Amino acid sequence: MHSTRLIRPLSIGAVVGLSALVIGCATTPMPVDRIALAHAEIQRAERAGADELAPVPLQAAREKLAAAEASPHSADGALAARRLADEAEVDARVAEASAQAAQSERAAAELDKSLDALRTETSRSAVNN
Amino acid sequence: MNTISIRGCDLLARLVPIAAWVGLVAGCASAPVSYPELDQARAEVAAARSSPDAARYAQLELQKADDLLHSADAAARAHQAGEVAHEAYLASQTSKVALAVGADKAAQAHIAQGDAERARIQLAARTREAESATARADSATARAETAESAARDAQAGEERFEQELANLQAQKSARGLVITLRDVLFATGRAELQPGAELTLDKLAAALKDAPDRAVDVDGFTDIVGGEEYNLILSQRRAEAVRTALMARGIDSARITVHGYGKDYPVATNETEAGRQLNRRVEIVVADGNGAIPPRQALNQ
Repeated sequence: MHSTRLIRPLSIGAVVGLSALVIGCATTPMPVDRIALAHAEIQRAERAGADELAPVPLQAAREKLAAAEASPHSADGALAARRLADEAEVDARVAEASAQAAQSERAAAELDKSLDALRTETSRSAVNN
Repeated sequence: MNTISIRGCDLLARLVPIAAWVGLVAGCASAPVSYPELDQARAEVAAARSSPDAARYAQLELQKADDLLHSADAAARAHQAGEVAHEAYLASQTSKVALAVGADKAAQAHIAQGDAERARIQLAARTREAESATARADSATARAETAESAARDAQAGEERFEQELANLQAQKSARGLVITLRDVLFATGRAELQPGAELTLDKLAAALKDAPDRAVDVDGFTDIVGGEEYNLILSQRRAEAVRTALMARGIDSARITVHGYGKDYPVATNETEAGRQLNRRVEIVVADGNGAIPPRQALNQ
């Protein structure tokens, strides 16, 4: 009875310690949340028209995300995957913001053009009147 | 827990070569470790901070870039080269996001201003159209008033005309108002107007100018003395002399027709000198309205 009472906590502690060691150094979990965030950001960039308007950062984001997903399931691999996923997310964010800015600037330029035309037209009709 | 252990491993992995290098250099001087990525990130974040659009519209992104820069600095102080490069990259990219967001929001603000400007221009154009329509209406009113005053002038001219004809002792007839110039205006057998005719012709011309639309028929007559052919020609010449005198006074020749009737249409007996004197005459017929004067023959029939 005595021995079993002593052995159980010891063996539990040993198992916990061992598993902590194994998890810490061998099977580090991959940063799935960061990868998911990068995925979502790349989709937002695509919806903003980054394929046409900001292809360079979008392509960088895709490549880094693919590399993050392909990282080995190791401590170094998980670290690399986290960094790659974070960089993919920020690259996609650059792509998204650049695409949005390009669209807004294009719209602003078109508006300016139509305003010039409107001004010319109204000043001409003002002269005719 | 995991992160800490990873960072610990990473730190150890990085520390070994760095420590060796530091140890090597330490003999001469303890030079601070330089990270080009960090320097570049610092410059990019500073550039984004100096952009007015980013400062105005992308404070959140600028703050995030600053935070990442601080993380990179901390990693540099801890000599975590991999983490420095990573955080510096994130800071650089976030500063690009800040610039893009600033440009985007600035363009959107420009569009909002442009929409307002478009509305303003269109409103101004509509106002101007309305004003010019009012101006057109005003000028139409002015034209109507001008026409009215012209009509009043014409009315006044008409009244003056009638008064002047009355002064010339015009007689109403079926063909119009008839002014008779007696032969005292012409020497016997001659078609030249006597100096005494001037005053009467001046009055007649002034009256005709007041009624510019009325036709005038100038008819010459003689007594029965002399040959028929001679009298016809003489009456014609006298009538023409009157037309010439009226033209000289500014009456449009197109208004004036001329006839010589010779001894026809006597107004008195040709048996007495007094009667013959009445028959030697020029009649000036002024139309009643704006129509033509009917010919004598048509009336007689």
